[in-house]
Amino acid sequence: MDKAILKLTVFFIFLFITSLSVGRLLFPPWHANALDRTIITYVRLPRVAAASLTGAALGLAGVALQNIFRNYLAGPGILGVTSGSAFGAVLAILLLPPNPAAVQLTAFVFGLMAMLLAYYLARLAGGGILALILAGIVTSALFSACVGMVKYMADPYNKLPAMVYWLLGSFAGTKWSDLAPAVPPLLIGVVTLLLLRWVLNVLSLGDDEAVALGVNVGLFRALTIVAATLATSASTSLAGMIAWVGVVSPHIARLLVGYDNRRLVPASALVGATLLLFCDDLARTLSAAELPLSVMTNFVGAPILFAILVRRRACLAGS
Amino acid sequence: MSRKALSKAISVAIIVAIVICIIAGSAYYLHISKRANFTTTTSVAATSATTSTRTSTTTRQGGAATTQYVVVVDARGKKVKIPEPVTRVIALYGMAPPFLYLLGVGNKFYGGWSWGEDFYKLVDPEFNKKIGFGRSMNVEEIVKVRPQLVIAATWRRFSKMVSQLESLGIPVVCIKIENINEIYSTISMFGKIFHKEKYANTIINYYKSIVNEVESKVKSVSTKPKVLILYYSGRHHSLRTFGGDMFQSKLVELAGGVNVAGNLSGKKGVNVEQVAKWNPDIILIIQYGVPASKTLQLIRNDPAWQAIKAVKDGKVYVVPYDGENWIDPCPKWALGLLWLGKVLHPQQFKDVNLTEVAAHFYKEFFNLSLSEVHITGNLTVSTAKG
Repeated sequence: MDKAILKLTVFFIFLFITSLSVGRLLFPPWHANALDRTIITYVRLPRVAAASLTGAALGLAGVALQNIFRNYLAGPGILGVTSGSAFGAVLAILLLPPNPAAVQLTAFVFGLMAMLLAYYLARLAGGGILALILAGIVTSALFSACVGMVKYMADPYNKLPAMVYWLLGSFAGTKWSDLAPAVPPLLIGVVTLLLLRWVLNVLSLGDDEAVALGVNVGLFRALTIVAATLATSASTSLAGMIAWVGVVSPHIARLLVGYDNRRLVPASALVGATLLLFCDDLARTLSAAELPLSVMTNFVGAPILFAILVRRRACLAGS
Repeated sequence: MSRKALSKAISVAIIVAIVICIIAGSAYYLHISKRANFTTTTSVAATSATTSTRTSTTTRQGGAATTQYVVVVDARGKKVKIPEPVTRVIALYGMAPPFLYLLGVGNKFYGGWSWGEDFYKLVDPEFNKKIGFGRSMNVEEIVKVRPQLVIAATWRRFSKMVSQLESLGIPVVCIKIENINEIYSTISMFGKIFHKEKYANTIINYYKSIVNEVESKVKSVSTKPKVLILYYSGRHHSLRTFGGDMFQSKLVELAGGVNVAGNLSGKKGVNVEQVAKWNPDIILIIQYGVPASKTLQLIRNDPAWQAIKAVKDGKVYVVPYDGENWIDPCPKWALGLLWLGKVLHPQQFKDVNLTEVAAHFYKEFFNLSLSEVHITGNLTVSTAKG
């Protein structure tokens, strides 16, 4: 196993254990009473597990999409999957009886639809990286408008606050029963992407080279997109909209392990999990009131990405 | 710069961050444990004091008093078992604490979130500190307080938090205050929880007598004025109104008026063209954050609004506000109803001296004289009318 990945794993495990032992209710974990143990097993553990899984899923989706579309700016948010999922979820909150599974299913379906729409629009616009980015912007805008419309139609007491809460993104109140329905799609997405990591190397070369190497490009591309969308929309349905993690994690991972996807993919997952877990720890411990998770990920993610861009330029100039 | 050096730098930074976290965490832990010890001893003392007065009713088992429970059915229709005595209440729903203060049990409100800051800080000097927990209190923060009761609303936004608290064995009652009957049932439920059933009934009867008075007075009126409720939302940068399903609109209907926006639902933005089409006879201004004077100015300075009948007739009124708008679902809604009666039907409500009623209300339920309460808005309408 790679040394950098080993380091990342150790660090992630360390953070995972630390996260379990910090919170607003501080007690030494080595002599915890019954209440403290309940807090750890029923409040912190599901939340920490949810944050880790979601972070890993977003990091993986980000790295997969960046390879597929050969664009380092790509990510679930940029290609409209997040907006699509958000629209599906608020639509489910508006029209369906309260049911987390229904919200999750519609979030997934609309996330996939948004991704396909962006891809199709890019084709219509002539293909290429620029067309793809523009198509992503169009799709995002379209679904954001739909979200705004649905919010307008929602009643202000019951459904609208539920939507706003969901759109801001939060792991607050995550229980094992919330986590359970999201785990299968998350795990399927995560495992599929991890298994497909060698394909990503081939796909990132471009269609002609991939075909020349004997890879069924269409099949594997579709598989990767579905897995990435599955992972993204499942995490979106679990915690709402989470900005930045999907875009930033692959960049951090690239700095640590390089560009080979066989190592980059697991590293992205670990970085994503670590990053989101850290952000969620801040969101739940900094003040008596929960801070919005997206605020935390923006605060942490944006400077990191900027630092990386500066470093990368320095690296390129130096070599 | 090589990748190796960079990863080295990153790991050093990470280690430094961890060390800082650990130091800060342990310092914070020491600070907290001191505070926790303090609260534990005081609460134990308080508990033993109350149990000693109740020993006649409690059976003792092996020296330890068995815990008593009060059981209530909340707005979800769920039976909630609350351990007694209830001394620490956390409110996640900001509409709840005002009714605790109304019932005279504001000292049991430990913290959380509440509306009406400007008024309740007069009633409770610790009020500002209590609402410092914010609107989305962390679950461990709640556990730390060890409340006997958490009050939330039936709204979906709370459902995740409520089920988590319940799984931790913390009793939660969910309330809903969207019409007059729900206000009554909330007050009587609180009455039961704090053993103030009789006082709760007194409050409810007081409210009912005002409703009866208003109903009998407006029964005979032939014309129902068209009313527009208006407020300025800083968040939306626009004037907004209330649809027919809102509490404020229901009060207007009860006071013999017609809400021009009755067909809308919830809070909605309005533009002057739509208002011109509605052409309301009366405009009522309420305030949330942005003061009513700004809304008033906005209307007065905009030539387009001058064509509206209510503005032309000088019938733009600011609803009395003491930290809460009187027509909001708050303890003062009955005063608001009476005030609405006076505004909509001044002839029928000629004999009602609102200042007197308000002075009585504040003295009776909050032990405040009218001069202590800072009321803005058109409290005395008859003189304001041109």
